[in-house]
Amino acid sequence: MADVVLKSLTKKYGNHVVVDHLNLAIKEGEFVTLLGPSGCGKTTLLRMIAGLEKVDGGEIVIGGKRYTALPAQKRNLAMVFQSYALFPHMSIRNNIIFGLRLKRIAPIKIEQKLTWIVNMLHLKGLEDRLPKQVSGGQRQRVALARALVLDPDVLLLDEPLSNLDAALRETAIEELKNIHRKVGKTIIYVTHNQIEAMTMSERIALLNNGIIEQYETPKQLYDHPATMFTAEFIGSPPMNFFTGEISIEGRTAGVKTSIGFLRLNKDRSRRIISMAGRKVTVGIRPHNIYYVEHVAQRRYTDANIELVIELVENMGDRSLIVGKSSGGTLVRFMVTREEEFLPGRTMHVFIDGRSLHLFDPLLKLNIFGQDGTI
Amino acid sequence: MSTLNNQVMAVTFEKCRNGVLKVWPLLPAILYLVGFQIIVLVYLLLLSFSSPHGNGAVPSLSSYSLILSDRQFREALFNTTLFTIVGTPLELLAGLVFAALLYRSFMLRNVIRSLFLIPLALPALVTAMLIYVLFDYPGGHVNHFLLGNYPPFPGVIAEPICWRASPFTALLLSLIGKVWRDTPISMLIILAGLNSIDPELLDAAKSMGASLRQRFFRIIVPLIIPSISVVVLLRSVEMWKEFIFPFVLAGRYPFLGTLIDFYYNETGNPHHAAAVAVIMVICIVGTTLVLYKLLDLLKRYAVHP
Repeated sequence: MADVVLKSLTKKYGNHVVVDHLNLAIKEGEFVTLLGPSGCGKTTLLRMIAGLEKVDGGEIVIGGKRYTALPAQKRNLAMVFQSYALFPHMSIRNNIIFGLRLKRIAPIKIEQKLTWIVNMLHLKGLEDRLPKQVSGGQRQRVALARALVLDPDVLLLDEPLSNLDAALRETAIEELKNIHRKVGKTIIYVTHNQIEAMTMSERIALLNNGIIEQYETPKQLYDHPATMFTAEFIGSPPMNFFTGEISIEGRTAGVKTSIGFLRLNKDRSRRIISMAGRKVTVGIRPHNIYYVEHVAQRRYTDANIELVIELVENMGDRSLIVGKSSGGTLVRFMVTREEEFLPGRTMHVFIDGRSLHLFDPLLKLNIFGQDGTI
Repeated sequence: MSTLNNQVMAVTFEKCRNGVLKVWPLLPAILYLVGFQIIVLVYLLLLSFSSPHGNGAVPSLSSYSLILSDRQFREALFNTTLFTIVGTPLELLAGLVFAALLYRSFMLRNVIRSLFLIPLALPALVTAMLIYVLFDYPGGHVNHFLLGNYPPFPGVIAEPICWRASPFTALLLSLIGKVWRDTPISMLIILAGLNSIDPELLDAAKSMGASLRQRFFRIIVPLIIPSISVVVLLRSVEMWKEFIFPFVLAGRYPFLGTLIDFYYNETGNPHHAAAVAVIMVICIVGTTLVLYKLLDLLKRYAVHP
């Protein structure tokens, strides 16, 4: 168990900078996810921590010890690879105890550890099989067992669930959370799947082009995106963005956009009233746009927008609707009603003024800062 | 009744035609097998089991008993066995070393890999002659080098060595030539095996604390056992069959490959030549069986160390 500190970490492939002066501090026992689109440098970063990639600049400090130049085999870390990387010529048992044997641990102790991990990860009875003789989910658990049994300071997981089907992934997520609770290890988890990141991690470092866009708890990341990239990346279906201008109507400030005037809630309205005339980008999550039949149910701050339905996507319990405003702007939003929505129909939706995210269109930053929105 | 007969005949005819149609694409292969393998093999066996001195009755073991009592044959068998036992591991080792060197990517890797294939492109006779010239007596380059005629290298011998004068050095020269020529084949096979290993396996082993040596012996070697098997089996067969290098470099010393030529061309006895050939085949089959057993043990050891 140890904390991890990355100081100004840099990795270059030729002239291409993959990880760019990155700083990150992970507390002891914390479950942190490195989240980002493919090619953002998250796997490279993880491999640098593991010692599998050369560091071109900066420092890695784990548990107060400098790890930067330490070869991988001398770091007390364990990694689970995306392909699991189980040794195909060894039985499950030998795969799991491979690292223990290298450490010259007494055979009795190895047996104890094997029994413990095999029971914890439900691998009993599979010990003598070869990796190719067990299922994908079992292989994933063997990879995890092989890492956990080494009792590493930090557990590194590189997209370990990406090869599982949806149902198995759900169980595996539960299992990983349980394991983290039980063993309390520092875990660094790499994924491009935001649902895995949101459900499992205590903090998420959102990476983009080798830099950290935002490093926060999942809730904070979702509710208060600090940058436009975060706002775009987190949340599914993705956020709507409209360009507009801060203006004042009546006694409150809002944003004048192509779909109409979007009024902010009173508190934040006061904070932007001095910015009248400034160009902004407004972000609204699809589920913050409501279809409400009864006008009486809406609040004063709700903006009323008329849309023509372009597309209806059935998602089971809900439907995603893409509507077109009179100005030609497309708006994505969710409906839960069982009533049928057909393309071509006109409907009125309301936008909750508390759920607007305002970004500077040039800096791509939240103009309220991180404490912003609600 | 006649219509029924007609029908039966039609069906039979259809069956025959189908049968012929199914078989005829295989015909060239069958002809080849019979013409170039089976007939030759049967003729060889008949030849070896018939005697030119007796009444011509088959079978006769006179050829076998004669060559088995021939000192030249016994020495040839011993020399060739030694040649195979030393040469096969040597080729495997050289292949492993060069494959390991060429495994990692570096500048001009592909060019260098192509250069390594040059021995394959040279006819074996040319290679043998090159070795002949290099180790010639008294004026070969190796002798000049050892005598100190190429400064700044100091001389280590006073008199030139006649390499081909003793059976040991002459066969050593043949072995050097053979290994030099055939190493690229083992290298290519092992390189293919190395390239098929998922690099993440080595990363995983590294992150679990395995040193370079442990990664080599516990991960790489077990995973290239199939390639090693191919190299060892193929190369050992080639070692038994070797002719050109001993013929050029150790022509007067007994060796199975050259002995066949000697019996056939010099003493004009095809029966003896055939008997030697049959014994050579038996040696090859025996070696293959032993190697299978050994490789099987190795494989089992790799899975349960």
